[in-house]
Amino acid sequence: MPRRPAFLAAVLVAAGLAQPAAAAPAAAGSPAPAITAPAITAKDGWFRYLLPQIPAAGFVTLANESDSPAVLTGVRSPACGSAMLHRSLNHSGMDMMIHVQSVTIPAHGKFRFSPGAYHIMCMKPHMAVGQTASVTLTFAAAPPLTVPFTVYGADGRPASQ
Amino acid sequence: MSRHALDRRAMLGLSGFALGGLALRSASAESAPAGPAIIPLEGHLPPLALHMQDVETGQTVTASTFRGHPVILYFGFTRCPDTCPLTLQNAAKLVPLLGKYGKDLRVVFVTVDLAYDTAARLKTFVAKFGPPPVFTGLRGTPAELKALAQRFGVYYRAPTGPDSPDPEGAIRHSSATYLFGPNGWAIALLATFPSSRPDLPGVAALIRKTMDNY
Repeated sequence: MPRRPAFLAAVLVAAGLAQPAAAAPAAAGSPAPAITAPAITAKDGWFRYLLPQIPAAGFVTLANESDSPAVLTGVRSPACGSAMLHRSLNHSGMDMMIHVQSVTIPAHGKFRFSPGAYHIMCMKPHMAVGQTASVTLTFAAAPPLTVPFTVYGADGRPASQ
Repeated sequence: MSRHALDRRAMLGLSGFALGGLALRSASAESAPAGPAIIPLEGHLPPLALHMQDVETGQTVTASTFRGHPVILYFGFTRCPDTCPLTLQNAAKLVPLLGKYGKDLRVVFVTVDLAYDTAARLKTFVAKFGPPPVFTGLRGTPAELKALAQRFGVYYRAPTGPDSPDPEGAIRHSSATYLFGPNGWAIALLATFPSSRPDLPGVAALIRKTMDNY
């Protein structure tokens, strides 16, 4: 298991209180309001990185511990130039990729970005195998979540499949 | 998404695919298609025939180049960040399962993105997954690509220029992954090979059996 920075666990969702998203991730150690619980966590973030000239694909598992669905609306990373939420589809035997506007993590559920399915499209990767890259996930009604993604090469993440 | 004017399209062999109306299935994060992993094809397809450039050597290759080798044929492109690397990674995992035949396998990756995939770029990309000649990148002229794709009912569509907007999203190609035997005839469609749940032991067993009988 990769180490989990403390702030991963400290992202708050205003469950039932439609509160504007805070500008910064919740600081580790700041007391949470009693009625909210750490809601969205991310683990096992990784990129498959091949060459700087071609996009890298990012994968992560998101968990939503709150009572409300969480809607991931965007992604950004200084290691990507621009980044988008994408989905690989096989439709009638045709491989294609579509840009998705958002993905919903069910209440008390998980959403997994995984090879061959949903992925983070990292358009202009600036990274190196063995390093980590910082990725910020933005949500419709929760503060952004910044998490480290481990950079793997062509072989991908060893335990991912 | 009004980029269709930029695209060159080749509708080859397959019909009924509506480009605009994608019926998205409910959110499932798994990618393996339903149905059998290996679909026997003996007698259903013409033998391998092609005329393209091997991007490693710069030499022209034809079907006779691959005579005596089991061949996995896949169409893709380097700007494909997910499915194409996944397929090649699956091929890399397959090689050690083939035992003494691992060195005989030819994983043939044919680019459909002629605008972006120069020979040098394709060579570097393919080499990330394994050494030549087991991993072979092929690049044809538009006519050569069309001929090979048409022969095996493979559809592809790629933007005309490297600067087309969101070109990766515009590129589409059949996921069909064919296994050819050492005599150049198609043995099977490897239906789950370009997915996260390939039947690698099954594919390896089929290749070993074919080679044992060759």
